[in-house]
Amino acid sequence: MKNDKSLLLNILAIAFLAVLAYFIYSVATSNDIGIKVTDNNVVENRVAYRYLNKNVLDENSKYEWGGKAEDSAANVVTSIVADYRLFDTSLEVIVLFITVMGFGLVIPKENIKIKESTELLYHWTPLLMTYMLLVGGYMFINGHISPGGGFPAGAIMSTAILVGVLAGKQTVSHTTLKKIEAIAGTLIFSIATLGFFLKGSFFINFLEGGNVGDLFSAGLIPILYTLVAFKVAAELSGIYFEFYEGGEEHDNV
Amino acid sequence: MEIIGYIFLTIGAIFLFLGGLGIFRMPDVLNQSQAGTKASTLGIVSFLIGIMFFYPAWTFKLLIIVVFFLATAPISSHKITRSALIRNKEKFVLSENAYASRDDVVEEENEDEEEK
Amino acid sequence: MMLLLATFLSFVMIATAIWVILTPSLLKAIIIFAIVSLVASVSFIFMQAPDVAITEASIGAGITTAIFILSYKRVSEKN
Repeated sequence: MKNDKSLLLNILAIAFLAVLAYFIYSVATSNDIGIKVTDNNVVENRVAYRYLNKNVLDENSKYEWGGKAEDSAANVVTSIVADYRLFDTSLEVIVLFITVMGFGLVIPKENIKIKESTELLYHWTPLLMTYMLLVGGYMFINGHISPGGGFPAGAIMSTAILVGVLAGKQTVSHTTLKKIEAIAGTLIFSIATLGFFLKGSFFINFLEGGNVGDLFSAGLIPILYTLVAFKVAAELSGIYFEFYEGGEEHDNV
Repeated sequence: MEIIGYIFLTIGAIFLFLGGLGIFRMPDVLNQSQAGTKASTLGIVSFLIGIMFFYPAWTFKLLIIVVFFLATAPISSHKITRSALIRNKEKFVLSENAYASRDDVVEEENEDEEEK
Repeated sequence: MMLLLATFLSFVMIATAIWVILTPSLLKAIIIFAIVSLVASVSFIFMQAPDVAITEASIGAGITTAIFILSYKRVSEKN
């Protein structure tokens, strides 16, 4: 290592990742209730068994706007992606990260600067970027009420930075994007394993749900979608900056 | 109120079709982009205003979409046409002056012959 | 009526996909690939899945085409 400070940071990072990896391993092979990877134990622990034995003729199981529900998100797809199958979504986030890393490995760095394009595009770019960020922000804030969610919201927010690169403005630096991506990804896994200390099983939705259709409902789902949207937006924006020069040399910190 | 909505929808559909027909019939990239953006802009704006008469609760959202489309369609056609001009520069050169009428050219030729 | 429209859209997608393979210029093929993504997004709306349609439209017709064209420019400058 270069000096003592970088050695200490490396050891701390490896220790933190080892703790997270241990928790993810034990959620994959535990025998409690919940969703697991190794689904080979008793029939009563499987998801299909619980859903086939639900009573739909009961008076309490009506799903209407403004009432209570088991998972009070109005968008059913959202409650499957971010609450019942959160383990699969976290693996998808890992796959996206590896794809972008492989992309940065293959493209050779050229010495072409981001230069100014035509005058029309240069002066209209702030308005277009504001509009695209507005649409993306609306989509992940209302992820549990209207269609959308975190993943297309991140893709739309990254096109705002693409318009800036095509017109000649570099609005964020490359290192800021990497920091945002790292912090958001770590927070996703940390919040998911926090449920073990509060309620007893991993990847559980530990906040109280409200009524169906409110803005502040569905527990942990809006927080998770915010983090996913920022992570996806930072990753896809990092791809565009790989084509131009200006990325600093990566020190071995 | 619904009859006005139907009129706007029909006008929008006709202009969108004419825009596509114009792109099909024009011989050149520069002509095609002119036909495409002008007819398509009017078609989409009229279409969205026609929907506004059927669902009056969606007025504000549809107005935002109209403003967004009016702001981005000219910029995109500007960039497409400019890049087409830079790529094929030798195909778009005029071989003669297009604004000179035929009478002026004939008079100049007669003057040249008389001077000689 | 809806079934007829969905069948027509699927034939358009097949014809466009065959056109991608047969065209000689690489830049044309990238732009025609964006049309395939667009038809896929519309047929997702027919199957009543708006989340998937929004994701396919934003990523397939926006980001994938942009990254393809930037890579094509980078590769063709060297030859």
